[in-house]
Amino acid sequence: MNRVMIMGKAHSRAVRKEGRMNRTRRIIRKNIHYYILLLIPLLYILLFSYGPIIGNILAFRKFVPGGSIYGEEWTGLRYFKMFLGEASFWRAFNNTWLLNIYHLVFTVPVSILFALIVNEIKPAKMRNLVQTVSYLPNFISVVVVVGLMTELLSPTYGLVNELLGMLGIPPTFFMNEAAWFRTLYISSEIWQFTGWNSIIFFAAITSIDHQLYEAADMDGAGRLQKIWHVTLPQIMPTIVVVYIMSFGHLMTVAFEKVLLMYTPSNSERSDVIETLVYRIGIQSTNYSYSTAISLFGGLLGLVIVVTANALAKKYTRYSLY
Amino acid sequence: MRTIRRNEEWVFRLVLALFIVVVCGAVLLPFIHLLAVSFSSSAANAGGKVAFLPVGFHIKAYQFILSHRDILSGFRNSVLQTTIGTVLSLLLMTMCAYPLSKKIAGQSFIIWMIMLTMLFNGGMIPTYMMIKGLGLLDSIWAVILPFCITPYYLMLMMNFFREFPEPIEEAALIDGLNPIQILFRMVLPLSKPILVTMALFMIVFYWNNWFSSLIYLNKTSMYPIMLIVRNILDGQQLVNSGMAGQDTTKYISTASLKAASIMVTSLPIFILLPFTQKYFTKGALIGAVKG
Repeated sequence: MNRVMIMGKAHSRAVRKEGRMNRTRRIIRKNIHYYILLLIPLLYILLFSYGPIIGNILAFRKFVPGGSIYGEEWTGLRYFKMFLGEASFWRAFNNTWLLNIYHLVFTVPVSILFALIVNEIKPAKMRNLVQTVSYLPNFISVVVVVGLMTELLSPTYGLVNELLGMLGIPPTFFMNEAAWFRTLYISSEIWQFTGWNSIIFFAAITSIDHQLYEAADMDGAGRLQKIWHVTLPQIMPTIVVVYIMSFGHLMTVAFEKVLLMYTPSNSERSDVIETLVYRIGIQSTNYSYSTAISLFGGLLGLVIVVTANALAKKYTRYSLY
Repeated sequence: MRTIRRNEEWVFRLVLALFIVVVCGAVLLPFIHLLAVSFSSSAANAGGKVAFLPVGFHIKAYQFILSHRDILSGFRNSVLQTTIGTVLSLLLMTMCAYPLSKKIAGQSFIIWMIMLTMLFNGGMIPTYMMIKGLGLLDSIWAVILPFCITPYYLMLMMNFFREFPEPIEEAALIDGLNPIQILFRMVLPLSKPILVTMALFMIVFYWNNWFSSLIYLNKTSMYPIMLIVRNILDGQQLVNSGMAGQDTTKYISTASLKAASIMVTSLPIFILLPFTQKYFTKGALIGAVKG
């Protein structure tokens, strides 16, 4: 694996072959149809992606019920000053990045480990079975995943508490305990996405040159030594890129899952920026105030991505763009 | 030395076998447990007697669910949203990705503009306000349109079209077909891997989509199945059922009702996966990693 391409450069294979005049004429003749095809998708993107981006102007303007969706009068940074002085904002802010740091620390290594172990399973049928089974949860609705958790962990009839009861441990209402929230969030992420996220590492492993392993065999390396001295160094570029990309999501969580897991009693840990925005914006209809909060989170996320990418470019040869 | 190696190999295989069992168990056992719960009697469920086999087997939970008005309309709405959404999404993404895979003026600016939305998007409230402003509240389009173009998937499609063998397109061009005709007549019929992958991703997305319905739709009769299931799991009661008042409570506990609703809504996805797997494991990686 030589390069990780996120945004490929324009291809130029065919173009080089032809004469310049001929090429220009052909491109002009060909292009009109391409632009016709692009017309509707581009209008769509302008409306549905850039419309809301411009709509963020609401964070600086006062919204009046029945008035324009872009607000009625300028308020400057009033809403920003408001939430920056709120303890509930800082709680959500800290919960967001902490949850993501824990997420980053646990989920990526587990996926790497998973790919490494799966790669050691030599009978192809068994390997395919494990992979197929492990992909399954990725496609399951987050509603169902949280539902499974709630049912299995129910304090009155859940399987987990029944088993704990046999060991003489009194039932715990796991889903309602703030102390358990991060553990449950991250372990269910691991349950749901490890198999799927390991695809990229598995692909990296399969593209390693076999001669390296043969050389290691000659030197008398065992399985573990080959993993440590050949496989891991060879997939390091992929690991680095995956980590950098994950940093881009430091300010966003799996919002729908957090919302489904959210209860007033675990809110000490489970209230994140997006759930705060949802409560203030959608439920209490404080549109301008909540837009200001989400804009702050979004811009901070953007800054982190750009910084992470710049660092990646500097220290590795791999970057997002 | 040789015996040590052989012992090590033996331990290694044992660990791998254990790993296979643990992974399969971890994924499948929760579903098997819920399947058992969904077939078990109220008393057995309430007492926590059910592990992986049904106790007091009956199928009343499924009969109840599959005859309930809200669940039936939920299925109908989900099928409708999923079908329209997937078709529209494939069409728009193809129309966008194909031209952008060619060398045309403005290409890199347009790609840059689309990719920027991956790093920064409008956010929940401005999107909500815009849907509201467009008069789409309480309309099926509110839960379909905002999700038709996913930048990441668009990128995968662009990379696929870039790798498409050029001689085929050039031959068609010489035959007098224009690029639009070439796309629909020559390229798409040969693009099954990427189309199947994208279709699967979009079907799964729309089928599992519930949050946008929660904020954009007001009438229960318009809710997709996942939002209905979320409400059931949340402890909200199903009302106005044709079976209410009969022997329902004797057999059907909330636990079996919840379990049955989870099984019924996950089943379509379970069925879909084996047929598409050979495509999506490759499709998911096109362009993301290149060797």
